[in-house]
Amino acid sequence: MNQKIIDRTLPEICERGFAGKSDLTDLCLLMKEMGIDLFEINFACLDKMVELPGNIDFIYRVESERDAELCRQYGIRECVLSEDVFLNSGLLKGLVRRQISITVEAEADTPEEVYALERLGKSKYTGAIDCIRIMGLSRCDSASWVMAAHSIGKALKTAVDICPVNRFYCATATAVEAFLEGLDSITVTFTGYGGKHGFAPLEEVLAAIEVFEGAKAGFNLRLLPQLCGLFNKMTGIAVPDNKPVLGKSIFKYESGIHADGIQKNPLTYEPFAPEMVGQQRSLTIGKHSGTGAIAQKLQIDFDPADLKTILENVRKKSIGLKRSLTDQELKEICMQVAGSLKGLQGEGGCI
Amino acid sequence: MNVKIVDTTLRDGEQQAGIALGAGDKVKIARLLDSAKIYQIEAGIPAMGGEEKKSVEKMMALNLRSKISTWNRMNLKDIEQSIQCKPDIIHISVPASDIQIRCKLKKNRTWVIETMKRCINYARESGAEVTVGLEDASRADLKFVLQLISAAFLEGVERIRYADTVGILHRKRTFAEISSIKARTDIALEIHAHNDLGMAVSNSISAVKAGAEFVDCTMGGIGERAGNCDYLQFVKAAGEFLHIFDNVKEEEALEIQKEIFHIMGLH
Repeated sequence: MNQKIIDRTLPEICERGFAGKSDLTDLCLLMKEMGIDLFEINFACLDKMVELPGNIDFIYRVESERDAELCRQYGIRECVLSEDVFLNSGLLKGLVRRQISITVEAEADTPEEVYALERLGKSKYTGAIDCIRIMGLSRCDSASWVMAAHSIGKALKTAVDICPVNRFYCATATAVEAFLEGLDSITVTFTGYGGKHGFAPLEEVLAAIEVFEGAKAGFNLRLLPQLCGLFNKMTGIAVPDNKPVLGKSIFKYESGIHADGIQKNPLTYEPFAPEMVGQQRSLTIGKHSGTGAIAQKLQIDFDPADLKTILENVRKKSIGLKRSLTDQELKEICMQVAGSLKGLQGEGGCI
Repeated sequence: MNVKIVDTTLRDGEQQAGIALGAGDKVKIARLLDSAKIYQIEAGIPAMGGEEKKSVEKMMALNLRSKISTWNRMNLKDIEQSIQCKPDIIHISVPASDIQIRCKLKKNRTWVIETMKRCINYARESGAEVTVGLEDASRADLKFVLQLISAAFLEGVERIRYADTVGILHRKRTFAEISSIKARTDIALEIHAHNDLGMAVSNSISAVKAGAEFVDCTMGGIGERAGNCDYLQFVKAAGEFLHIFDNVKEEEALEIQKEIFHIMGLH
């Protein structure tokens, strides 16, 4: 895959004072294994990590005079700087002298604002820019911005990276669009973490690319649960159970219609196999279950009349508790209805 | 642009594993949705019987401003249960993709069209408005989708739900699919987007831009797997991109959502 995925979770975490040295390194290593190409860091990250893990490519956020030398010391070959910093010629000279690849980050929320980035071509240092990162794009709701982005890359003779902001809940769509329309790179954060409105969530973008492009995308998303755990340890943020791609309940199914469909062929009601993202599907029993789902869960041949009574009791109990039932609760109902059930307590039953 | 919200918190939202509501709670939530001026409340599945059926009957007795609809599989027995509740709208879900037709129903396209026609006629005899949902339309052959729409239209159906059942659309494709249907039919379209890849809001916006007049949402985006299009997020995005729903006050809507979550036992 020629297009790059850049992660900028690390500076967002460091900015909020989270994380220790080994956690930051572990996060990089996990994401690298998953398929992330480049990791953005800043002085705060470098300060915490002390030394950088080998075999990982970093892009360093340059903010002051000391940073060009830090890049050299740490062997970092790429840097990103804001439009304001880009106008500081002294700083630029230091980067150019050290042959560090330069990405200029400029804000643009609408296609018109993307076209307006042509202003960067008026600097006498335009030739030093290797890539332009378009930050924002939150007011772009159709592919017209992609034409603007391609046009800017052509005008400035640079690669184009985008970092969509999630202000109107379309950052994933914008990032995926950038990938499908052949832009050079996409910058994301894990769970969309950071900034005022959040960014495009890395896991959603990667999963979408994998769904649309198939195995050739080459990501290893099976590591996502591990990454979730590490992220939670570092930030204290628990990923919601229904968070796309990551949530631990997204492959739980309960309704009779879905249980029936999934039993016949999981593709009927799943956008991708749970194993692709390191999860497993599980059948829960509750108000929306049907007799088929209960029979499937118990794996015992019941008298149809008993099964109907069990279902009625399951629904009643589930409504009373306002949730699905635990295996123990289901077992108790079955015992009440059908008396002694050998299979439930032995190897034959699945609860 | 006149876009109407179909709230499916009480049907697809409640289908999120772990949520279970009794008739009393569903009625309380319906009142709250009505106070939010939601056009249509998809109230539940009467074929489940018991509390579920009772909840729809109770909602109908309230004479809410919101229209009350019921969700039905494509079979006469299920529809009969709905008819007994006397809802404003009877919605019939019609599997549209080959994977649904072959793997789940173990039937063929011809059978689907014929059964759909019978179900529409039966439901229409009750006097209720009938809408048809094309389940898994985003993975279906567009030609067959158009065939289903034509057949439904001839039977008197005026609105079709295009369901991205497993949430695999992206906005360019959403726009292309909805535009194609709009270019070939006069039927009103409703977009039903799932959030498996985090794109339910953007896909719904894209569908409206392509001509969809109805958008399915749930409070907080709850629903099967990663959920549905989040009502508040959609309204905010629609305000920005479509310049509609300016009358929805975010704080009031958020308060209603909080009350609904409290009733559901969600936090």
